Amino acid sequence: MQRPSTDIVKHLADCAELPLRPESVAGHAEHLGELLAAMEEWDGLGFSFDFDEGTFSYVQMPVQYRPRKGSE
Amino acid sequence: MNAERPHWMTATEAGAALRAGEISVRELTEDALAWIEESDTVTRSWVTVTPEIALAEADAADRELAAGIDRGPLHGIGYGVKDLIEVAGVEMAVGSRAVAGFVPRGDAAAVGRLRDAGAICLGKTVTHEFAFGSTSPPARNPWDGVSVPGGSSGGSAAVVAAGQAPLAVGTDCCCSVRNPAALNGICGIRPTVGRVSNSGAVPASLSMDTVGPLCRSVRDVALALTAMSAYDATDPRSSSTAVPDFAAELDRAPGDLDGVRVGIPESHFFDHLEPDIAARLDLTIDLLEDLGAEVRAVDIPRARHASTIFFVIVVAEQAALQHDQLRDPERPRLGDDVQAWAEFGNLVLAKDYVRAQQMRELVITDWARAFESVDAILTPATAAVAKPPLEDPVRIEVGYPDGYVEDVLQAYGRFLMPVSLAGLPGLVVPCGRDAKGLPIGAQVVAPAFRESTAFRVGEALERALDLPPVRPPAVSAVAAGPVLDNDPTPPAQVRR
Repeated sequence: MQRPSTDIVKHLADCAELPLRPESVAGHAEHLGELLAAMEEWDGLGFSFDFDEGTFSYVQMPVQYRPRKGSE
Repeated sequence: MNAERPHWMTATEAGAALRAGEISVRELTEDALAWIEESDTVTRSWVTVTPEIALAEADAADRELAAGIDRGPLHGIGYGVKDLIEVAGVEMAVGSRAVAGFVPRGDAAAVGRLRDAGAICLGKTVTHEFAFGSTSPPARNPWDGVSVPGGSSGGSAAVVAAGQAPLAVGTDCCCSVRNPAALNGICGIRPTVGRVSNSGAVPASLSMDTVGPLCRSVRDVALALTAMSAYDATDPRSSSTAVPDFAAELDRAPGDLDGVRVGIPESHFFDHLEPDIAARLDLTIDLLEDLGAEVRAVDIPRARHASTIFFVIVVAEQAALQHDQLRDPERPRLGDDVQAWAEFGNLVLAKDYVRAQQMRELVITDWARAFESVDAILTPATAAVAKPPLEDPVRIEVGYPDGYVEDVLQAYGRFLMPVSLAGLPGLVVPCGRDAKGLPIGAQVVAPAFRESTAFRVGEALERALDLPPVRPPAVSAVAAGPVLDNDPTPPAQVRR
């Protein structure tokens, strides 16, 4: 896993119109690298579309719905 | 009533004393307020104490009891409220200089329910800023007066353990009711998402927050959860699922655990533990079998990803909630740690937030599969006991005999986050102390809306473990004489 450069962090902060202090950038780049490395372990778990054998699959997001009073 | 000062009574004991005419609500409240004054020099866990409000409520509660009006088991019982949950007319700072001068017009839903139940608000307790941390400065753990009380509901847990209130209200996003309960040797529950309304509680996460009670016994937690739970149309995640009388269900349940199937996770939940915690958990599992429970191995295989999933989701949600705060350089900055987390959330891509939610769904599926074969699941609450802050009040490193090292946020949260992701109830009960006398807790997880099962297992363990009453030495020493204060952290600005 290649760590994201501080330029990428600055770019993302610019996109978010985030007035980032210069001294924060290196720390954010390091943490982002750690997080992305941890997320690499999720590859292959079937989040993306898989069209195969006449069907397709993907992983859903959790349903947060709770029944409202009177709707049951 | 025993010879100890009244503030050490549990809510259940105090309720019995009130109804037996052994004490009045005013006497109970005055003793609690005096003890807070004496012992908060150690705990530093109150942001605001509200004696005028408390005594006015106490007198009203006494008048009602004299007139034969009894609002139930919490009538006349004092409580503290985490300072990110609204209490009408009492300034709320959310642990942040960015929120100075905010005075809520109304009560949070849970506080309103406690008010209706006749409970007495004693004040507001220290929270980690915006509920985003596990150390809750400047609050201190009453067991040694030096270590952190956990967090983010660290103040709420410390005041209950210190005998300053038999009940406190906290919030739990990652772990914020449960790790403070464990580190302070008391009980606390993260209820099922939707059981208690979040209205009036400042969110740390839009998809994981819950409001829950902390007390010195399982039965008190059951009483408080019953009072706090109700459908609330102002909270979109509030559930209309029927609320049982949890304490009455405990009365009806047999004291043993015959026929109860308790799962012990095979992976993740017993990795990298302090030896004393591992030993106490082994003993607690043995006790389950002695109590008649059928103990089975279960697995939550994706739980090991919970920390990563949790942080991707929660930093992104916090960044959204702090959007205006972060973009306005004129506003007072958040604390360095919370500012960094919120800034970091801006760097997480939307795609990664969605992938984290997908991964979360797999963890939810793992729990559902596990609960096909068991009624409850037991885990350690934390991997380490309370630690003192050394050079930094929020970043503390924890090491284990196997060489593994992690930040305190992980040590106090990695067994609790998998439960939060699934929205399940988790009850923490004390299960012993380490060699230095610091508390160790166990977590009982139950299926959604089956808090009764967690209470049954928790109370059976509480009875079987038969631990000494919660009397933390550092605050108990206050009654005996002055305590040396060699901690450089200044106490909270207490408004009275």
